Amino acid sequence: MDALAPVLSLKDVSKSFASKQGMVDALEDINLDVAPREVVCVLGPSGGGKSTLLNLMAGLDQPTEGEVRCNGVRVTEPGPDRVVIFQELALFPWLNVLGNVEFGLRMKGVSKDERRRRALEALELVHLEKFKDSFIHQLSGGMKQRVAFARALVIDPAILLLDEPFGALDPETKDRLLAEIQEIWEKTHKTIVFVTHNVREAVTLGDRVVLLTARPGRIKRDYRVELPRPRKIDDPGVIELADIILGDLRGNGQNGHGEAGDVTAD
Amino acid sequence: MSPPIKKVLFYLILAALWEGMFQLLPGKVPSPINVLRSLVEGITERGYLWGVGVSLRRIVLGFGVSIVVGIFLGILLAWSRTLEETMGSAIVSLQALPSICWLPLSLLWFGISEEAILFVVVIGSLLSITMATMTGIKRVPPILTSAARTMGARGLGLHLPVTLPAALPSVVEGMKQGWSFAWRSLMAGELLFVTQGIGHYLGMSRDLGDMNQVVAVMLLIVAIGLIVDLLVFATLEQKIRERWGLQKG
Amino acid sequence: MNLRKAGEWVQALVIGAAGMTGIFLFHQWREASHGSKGYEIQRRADPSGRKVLRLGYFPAVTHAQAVLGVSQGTFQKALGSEVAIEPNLFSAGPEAVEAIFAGSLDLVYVGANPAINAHVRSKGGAVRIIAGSASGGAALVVRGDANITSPSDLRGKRIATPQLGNTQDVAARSWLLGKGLVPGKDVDVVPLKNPDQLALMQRKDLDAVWTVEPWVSRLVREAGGRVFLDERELWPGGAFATTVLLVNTRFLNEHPDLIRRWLKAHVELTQWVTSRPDEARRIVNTELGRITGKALPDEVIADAFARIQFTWDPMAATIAESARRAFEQDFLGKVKPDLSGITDLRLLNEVLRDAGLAPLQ
Repeated sequence: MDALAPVLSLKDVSKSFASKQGMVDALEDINLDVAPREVVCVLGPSGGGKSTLLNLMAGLDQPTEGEVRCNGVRVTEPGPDRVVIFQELALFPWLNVLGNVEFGLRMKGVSKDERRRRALEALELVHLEKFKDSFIHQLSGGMKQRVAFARALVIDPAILLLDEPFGALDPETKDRLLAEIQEIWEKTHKTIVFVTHNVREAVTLGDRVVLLTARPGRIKRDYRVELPRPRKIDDPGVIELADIILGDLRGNGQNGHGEAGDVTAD
Repeated sequence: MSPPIKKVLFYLILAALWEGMFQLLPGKVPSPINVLRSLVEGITERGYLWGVGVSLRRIVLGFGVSIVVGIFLGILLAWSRTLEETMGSAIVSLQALPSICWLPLSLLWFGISEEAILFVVVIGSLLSITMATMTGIKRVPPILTSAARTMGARGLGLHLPVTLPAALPSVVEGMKQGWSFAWRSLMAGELLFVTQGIGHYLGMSRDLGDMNQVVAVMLLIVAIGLIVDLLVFATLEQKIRERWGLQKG
Repeated sequence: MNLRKAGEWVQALVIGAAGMTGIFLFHQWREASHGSKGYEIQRRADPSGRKVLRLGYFPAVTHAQAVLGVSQGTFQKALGSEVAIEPNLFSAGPEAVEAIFAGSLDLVYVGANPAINAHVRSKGGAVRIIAGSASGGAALVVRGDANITSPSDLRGKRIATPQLGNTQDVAARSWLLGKGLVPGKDVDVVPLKNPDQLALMQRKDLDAVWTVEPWVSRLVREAGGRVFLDERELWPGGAFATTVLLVNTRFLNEHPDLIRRWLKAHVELTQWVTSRPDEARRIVNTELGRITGKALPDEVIADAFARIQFTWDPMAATIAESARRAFEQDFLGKVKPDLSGITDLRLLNEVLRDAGLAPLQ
């Protein structure tokens, strides 16, 4: 495989919805390429088009104009090459942890023993192998998050899509998760696209931070983050870059239109 | 005082009060002692247990049919909006009709036969199970199906492993309600019309003016209802709670 | 369940068993010292305060005196104007007996077995048979195309009777047993209301019916039935109590004058039906037609009347025999029924003597 060809490629993508006020343009003229092993963050205000963009990437929705391609193939429906981890995690309560992690492999038709082996490996990656027989309701929030990761990673998707992964977490759990995701990425070098409204998280985790304006959602700027890893959310470099980006979003740049909305620093 | 002792004392006091009422008003109230005697006689001499077998056979068959048909219909209604708007509204209206009211029509269609009573039993529970399945499926959080789809599930491979298990708690609730409707309509049917079965013993003892037996059979009916509830539904709900925790599906 | 919980349950069960034994012993003691009581009839006051006599009867040819007496006003004339007669219709005896015990009936024309039942359940206290009313008029009708030529052909078939424990039901079960067929096992015996019997026989859902007139004749005429056995063949002299006149004992004790007047009318009606059957038939038919919504062709009524003998003799011996059969069928409980005092014919005999007729023994 050509190492330079983008894993995910959006060309002239627009998305409009019908609503009570008439047609709403959620996204306009999105052009974005995600290279292999990149961690790209889409940053924008809540209620903007971030989740819509993620859904288009996942194939859960179709663009009104333009096209989305994954490894050169047009995206028309969801699939295991583009696994999504939703903010609410969507773990299956009727299955135990091992069952959840094995789910994607079941869909692929992998044999029982092979499934189990790979699932246990994934659980080891997130340090949860001792909880393989527990049920979801018995786990803490942070543990559930890790199970969701294991479930996604075990499928070996081309790209991992995360929808507001830090949304509901308290600061300690957030810190831990940021560290863990970086650890996972070190081990697996998965291509990741994640969506958030928090600048510091974006800078801590991302190789690139793509600014999305409020409706209609357009890419305002594409920042490259070259700080050394592993990063912490209160690293000076992170804070500095985050401030710059925040200022940009609040309308100090000439190119952007639309407001900063409620993009936060923290 | 432990809970079991409290329960037993409570029922003992009830029994004593009951016996007391009998002593005061022997024409109106049968004595619990005579009722128990009648129950024992019924089991040892009048073949109550055989009658219990007949009733249980009917309800298992009828309930089984209504589960299969009910889940199938529920899936249909959840899947097609048109069907839900049309057939669904008909089903909701029919639920207002106590299933025993179907007995005259059922007898016209099937004559005096097992089929006639089974029809009433099936109708009794079918509607509950259908509605519970339909709402259960519709209430499955879409995010579960979205997540499954991004993991490669689609079509039947999505609905069988994801939608159905996700709807299960609601379906079990519907089954529990359906069971009690089915049991009641069976007893009513056996009382009103058909021979054999426990309900028949109730009608028979009434015709003979034997109040001891009437109450004995009533106790028997209660006992069976309770046993099934405990053995079947409490266990099912327990198993679901183990997996799902206390959240509803 | 752990050991402690199990221990709690054992404790509780022991307490429960001890308590129940105590209640049981108390019950036995009371029964020994006070005697066991039977069911009592409820008292119900008439809200308007008038004198009311609440009558029960069936819209059947075997209740001809009642049908005639009510429709022609014979009873009302006999009782006078200060007493209102409230007629109530039933389709079978056990229901009527239920009404007596609920305090809703004072006087009822009813079959022998329900009367026996009432007597036994109340341990002889609640009711009295004060006269006979009809003999005969019951038969076993089989479906013409069911190919039943001998009793054993009934094996595996379905027979209907008017209600569980009523006179025909007891007769049917007893007869089947005598022929080596166990009701429930070898033959399906189904209690059904008379109109339902007719409908189901027409639909070929029933193979046979043991019932009373006019349904016997109707089944023959309208449902392709055939009289397999006239119940008169089973009794010496062809006479047996089909319908009797039963009264609430308390009412009898409180209003013997009303009952005497009633009995007088009853005897007169019996004489009339016997001496002028054509006229009686016509009136009964019209009345039944009004009540049931369907008047019958004259031949049917004629056939029906031909099978019945109207009498004021309750035929106590046949009542005792019916009781024996019911006891055999386990309808009367564990103790052999004591029928002493079930009939009280003093008032009837007074009426008969006054009319110059022979009193009964």
